[in-house]
Amino acid sequence: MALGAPILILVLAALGIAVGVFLLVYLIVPICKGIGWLIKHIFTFIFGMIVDLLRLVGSIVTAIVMIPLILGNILLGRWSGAVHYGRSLQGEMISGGLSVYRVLIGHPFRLLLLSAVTEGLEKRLPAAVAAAPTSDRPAGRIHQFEGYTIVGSLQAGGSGGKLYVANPEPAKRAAFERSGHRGVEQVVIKTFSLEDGSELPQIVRESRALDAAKKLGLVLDHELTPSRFYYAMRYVPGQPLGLVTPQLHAASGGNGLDERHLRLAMGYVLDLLETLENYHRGGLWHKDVKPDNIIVDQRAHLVDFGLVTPLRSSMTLTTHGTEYFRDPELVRLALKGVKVSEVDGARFDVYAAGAVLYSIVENSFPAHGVLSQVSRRCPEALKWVIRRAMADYDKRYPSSAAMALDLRTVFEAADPFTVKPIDLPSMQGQVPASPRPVEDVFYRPSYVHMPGIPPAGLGVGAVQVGAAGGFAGSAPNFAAGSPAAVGSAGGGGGGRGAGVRRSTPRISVRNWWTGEFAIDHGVAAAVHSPVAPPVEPFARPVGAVAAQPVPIMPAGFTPVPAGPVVRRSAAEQLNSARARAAAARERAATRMASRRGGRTFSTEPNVGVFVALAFFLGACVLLVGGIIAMGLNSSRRTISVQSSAEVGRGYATLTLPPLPPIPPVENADGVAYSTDVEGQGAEVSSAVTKASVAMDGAAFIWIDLTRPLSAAHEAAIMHTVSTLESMGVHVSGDLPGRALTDEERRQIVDQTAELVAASSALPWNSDSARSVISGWADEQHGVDVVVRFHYLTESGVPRISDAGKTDLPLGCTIIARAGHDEAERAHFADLVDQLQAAVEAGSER
Amino acid sequence: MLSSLTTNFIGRLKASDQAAWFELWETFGPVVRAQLTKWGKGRIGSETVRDLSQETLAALSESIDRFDPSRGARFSTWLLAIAKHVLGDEMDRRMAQKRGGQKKFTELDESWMAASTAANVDSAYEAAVFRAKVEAAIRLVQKEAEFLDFSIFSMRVLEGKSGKDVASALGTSEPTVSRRLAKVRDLLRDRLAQVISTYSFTQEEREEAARNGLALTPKQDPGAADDAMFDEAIGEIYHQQMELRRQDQAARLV
Repeated sequence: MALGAPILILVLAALGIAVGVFLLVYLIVPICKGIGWLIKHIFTFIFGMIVDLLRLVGSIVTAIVMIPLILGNILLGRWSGAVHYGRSLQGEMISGGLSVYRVLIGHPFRLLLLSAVTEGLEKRLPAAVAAAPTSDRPAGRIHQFEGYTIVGSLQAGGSGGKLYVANPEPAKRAAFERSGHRGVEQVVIKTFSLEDGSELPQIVRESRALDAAKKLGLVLDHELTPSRFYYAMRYVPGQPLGLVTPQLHAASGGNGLDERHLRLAMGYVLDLLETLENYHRGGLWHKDVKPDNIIVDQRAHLVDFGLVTPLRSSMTLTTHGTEYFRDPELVRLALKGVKVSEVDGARFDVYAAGAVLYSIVENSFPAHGVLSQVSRRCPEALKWVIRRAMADYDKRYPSSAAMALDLRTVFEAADPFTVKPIDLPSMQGQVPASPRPVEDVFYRPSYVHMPGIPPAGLGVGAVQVGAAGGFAGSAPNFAAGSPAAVGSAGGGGGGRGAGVRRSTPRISVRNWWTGEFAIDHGVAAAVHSPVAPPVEPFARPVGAVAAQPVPIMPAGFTPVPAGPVVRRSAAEQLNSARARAAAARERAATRMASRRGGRTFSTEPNVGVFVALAFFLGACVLLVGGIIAMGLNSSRRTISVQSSAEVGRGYATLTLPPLPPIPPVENADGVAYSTDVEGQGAEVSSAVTKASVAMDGAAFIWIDLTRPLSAAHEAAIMHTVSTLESMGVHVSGDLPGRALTDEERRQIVDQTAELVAASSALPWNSDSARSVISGWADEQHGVDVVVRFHYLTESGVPRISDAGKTDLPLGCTIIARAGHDEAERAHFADLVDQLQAAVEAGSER
Repeated sequence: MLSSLTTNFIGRLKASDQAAWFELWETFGPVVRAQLTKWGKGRIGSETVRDLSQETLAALSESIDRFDPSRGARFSTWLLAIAKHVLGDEMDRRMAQKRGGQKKFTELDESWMAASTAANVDSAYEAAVFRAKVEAAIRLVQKEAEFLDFSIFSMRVLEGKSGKDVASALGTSEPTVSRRLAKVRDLLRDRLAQVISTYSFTQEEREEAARNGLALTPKQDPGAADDAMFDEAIGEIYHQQMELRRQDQAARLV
C-alpha cells in the first residue's frame, strides 16, 4: 500500500501529462491557430479597408488636381499635354473605382468568407469584358466589302487585323453554294488595311496563311487591293473555350469537373484533335492552339489561322505563339535558327492540345510546362494523356490522332475515373489506324488539275474543318476527301518525282502579296504557293498547262486559265509592292491628318480628357442653372420684403413680379380689365379670405411709373389692386382701365399731382418721402394708406441708361397715414401689416 | 574558382548564345520577378515587373563581359545585384519623370562583385534561387529520362502516390516501379550536381544541396540522407516552386 499511492500518483501524473499533451496538440494548438488565423483575417480586412480608403481619397484628390491641368492645357492649345493628363486621370478613375468596389464589396465579402460570390465579378466578368467586341459595325461603312453587309464586329486577335461579322448578299451566297460551301448564313471577314494601321509584315504573314487556309477550304472569299487585304470565313457562333471552361467548373462544383462536364470537355478536345489532324494531313501546322482560339457551340471549332505554317516550309522557325500553350522547346529551336522543315511542327500542336486539355481540367494555365501538376479531380488516365502530350518533343504523342485514340478511350469509358494509364492504347502499343501521310497539299504535283486526271477526293464538303465546323462527328474519322486524302490522291497520281523533270526551271513571282509564283518550263507555267521553296528537294513534274492556283477545287470544277504569266522579276515585284504600300501609307496619313486636325495618333482624346471636359461643362451648367434658378426663385417669390431696413412702422416696401398681361374685357361701361387673371383673382380671393380677416380701409393707388405702362407692370398692379379689393379695401386712384366719372378723374389727377409735387424730388425709400406721403394721406378724406407703385431703382425713376426699358423691377410701398394719436397710428400700422401680408399671400398664390 | 560548367555557361552567355539566355530566363525569371515584386511593394505592376525582369537580363548581358569570377561573388548575388540596379534605375526614372525632367540610365554599380559575403542577402531569395536550380535539374531529367520512367518519378515523388498505386495504374509490379524510380533518382542527382555547378560561382553555393537535404553522392557519404529523404526534399522543393510559378502566373493575369 505504501508503494501503491506513489505509483498511482505517478500513473495519474503520466496520464495527466499525456492528456495535457493530447489536448495541447489536438485541441489547444488548433484553437490557437484558429484564433491567430481569425485575428490575421480581421486585420487583413481592416488593413485592406484602410489602404483602399486612402487610395480612394488619393485618387479623388489627384483627379481633382488633374482636371484643371487638363482644362488649362486645352485652353493653352497644348493638346498632347491634355491627353497626357487625361490618361492619368483615366488611371486615377479606374483606381478609385476599384477601391470603391473593394471597400464596398470585395473586402466585406472576403471577411465573411464569401470570396466565391465575388469571383464572378473579379475574374469572369473582366474576362468577358476583355473578350467583348471592340466596336459596333462601322457607321457608314457596312458595305465596304462588296457582296457583304457588316452586322457587327469581333474582338480582334493579336495579328493586327479587324474582324467583322457580315451577312453575304444573295449573289454571294449563291456563289458559295456553287463552290460547295452550303448554308453559309454569316461570315467573319478579317481585314488588314494599311489605312487602319496594319503593318505590311502582318499582311504578308496573313496572306501566306490565307493560301494555306484556302487549301483546307476554310476561306470562302478573299480580295487583295494595294491598300487592303481581306478574307471571309464561315462564322461560328459560340464562346471561346477560355470562357466556357470556368462555366464548366462552376457548374461542377468546387474541385474539378464532374463526370458529365468532364466528358463534355474531353469531347471538345477530341474535336480539336480531329481538326489538328486534318491540318497536319494537309501539311499545315496551326501554331496557335489555345483556348481563346477554340470556339465552342455544339462542338469545338479551331479558328484563327494567322500563324498557320506549312510543315515543310523552308523558313526559319519563329517564336510566335502564346505563352503556356507554346512548347518552350519551340522557342529554343527558334533561337537556334532551326528551319520549320527540320522539325515536326505537328508535335508542337500536340503539345498545345495537351496544354488546352490541362487548362480545361485545371481551370488554369500550365505555368509549369510539363511539370504542371493537376491538382483537381481528374482521372489518372487523363493526367497521363496530358503528361504524354506535353512531354519532351521526342517523347510526346507522335500525332494528334494518337493522342485522340488515348483520349477517346477515357471519353468512351463507362466511368472515366476508373480508367488507368495501362488501359490506354498507346501503352499497349496501339497506333492510329490511319497514320498521317507525309504528303501535303503544298507539294502536291501540279498535274493533279490536269485535264484527264480526275481530282479525286477534292470535294470541298469534305474539307470543311476548323472554323467551318464541317466535321461529320466526333470520331477520329479522317476519311477520304480530307486534305490528307487530297494529298494521297495526288501522290497516287504519280507521286513525287514522277514524270519528266526539268533541271533548271525559271521561277517568276506572280503576286508578291499572296506569294504566288510560276514555274516557267518553257512550255507552260504552274502556279504555286508562296511557302513552297523555289528550289525544293522534291522534283516537280512538268506538264502543267495553265497558270492555275493550286487551292483545292470542288469536285467537277474546271480550272480557268489565268492568262499569260507576268514575267517581272521578284525584285521588281517587291519594289512595286513597296511603292504601292508607301503610297497607301502616305494617303492614309494624309487622310488621318485631315481628320484629326493634324494630330498624331497618340494625341487622340481619351476618357480622362472627356471626363474633364464633362466636369467643366457640368460645372458651367450648374453655375448657369443656379443663376437661372436664383432668378426664377426671386421672381417666383413674386413679392418679398426688400430688406428689414425698409420695413418700418406704418409702411412696407414690396417687390412686385411682372405678370402676364391681363386681357381687356368689354363690360357695360366700356373697356375694362378683369380682376381675374386666368383665375388667379378667384384663387387670391379665396386664399386671402382664408388667411386673413376682411379689412375695412381705404387705399389710394399712386402709380409713380413712366407711361405707358408695360403689360407686365400693368398686370402686376392690377393683380395687387384686385387682391386689396378682394379683402374689402376700398381702392381709389389712377387705375388703368377703370371707368371713372370726370369728377372722379379730376380729383384723382389732383391728388396724384399733389403727391408728385410733394415727394417726387425725394428718394422713394427715404423717410422724408414717406413722411410727406403719410402727412398727405392724413389730410385726405377717406385715405388710410397710400399704395405707391414705383421702380426699384435708387431714385425710383428710370436711369438714363434705362431709357426705353419698360420691364424694370417693380416695387410697391404701402404707407399709412400719420394719424392723430398713437391709437390711430397703431391702427394704420396694423393695416399696413395686414395689407402687406395679404398682398404677399396673394402674389405667392 | 569556377567549375568548367559555369565557365562554359558564362562563355555561352558572353557569346550571346540566345538559347543560353533563354535558359537563364526560363530558370530564374520567376525568382527575379518575385524579388522585384517584393521590392516594389505594390508600387510597380506585374507588367512592369516583367519588363524589369527582362531588363535585368539585358543588364546582365551588358555586364557579362566585365564579369570577374575571381572576386568571389555568388551567382545569386550576381542576379540580385543587377535586378536591384534595374529596379532602382526604374524608380529614379519615375521620380525624375514626376519632377518633369529626364534622367539617363545610371551606370551599373559593380561593387557587388566583391560583396559575395554580404550579410544582407535575403534568405528567402537564396532559397528561391536554389529551388529554381532544382527545378531546372528536374526539367533536364524529364528531357533525358524515358517517358515511362519519368512518369513514375512524377507520380511517386511529385504527386506523392504510393508505389502500389503507381504500379497498379501502370500495370506493372512495385519492384519495377522502384527500379525505374531509382534510375530517375540517380539521373536527377547527377543533373542536380550539374545544374548547381553551372549556376554557382562559389564553393559555398555548390554545397547548398547538402544543406537542403539533397545528398547528391549518397554512396560516398555514409551520413547522407537516404533516398526517401531525397525524394521528400525534392517533392517539397517542387511544390514550393510550383507555388512561386502559380503566384507569378496569377500576378501576370491580374
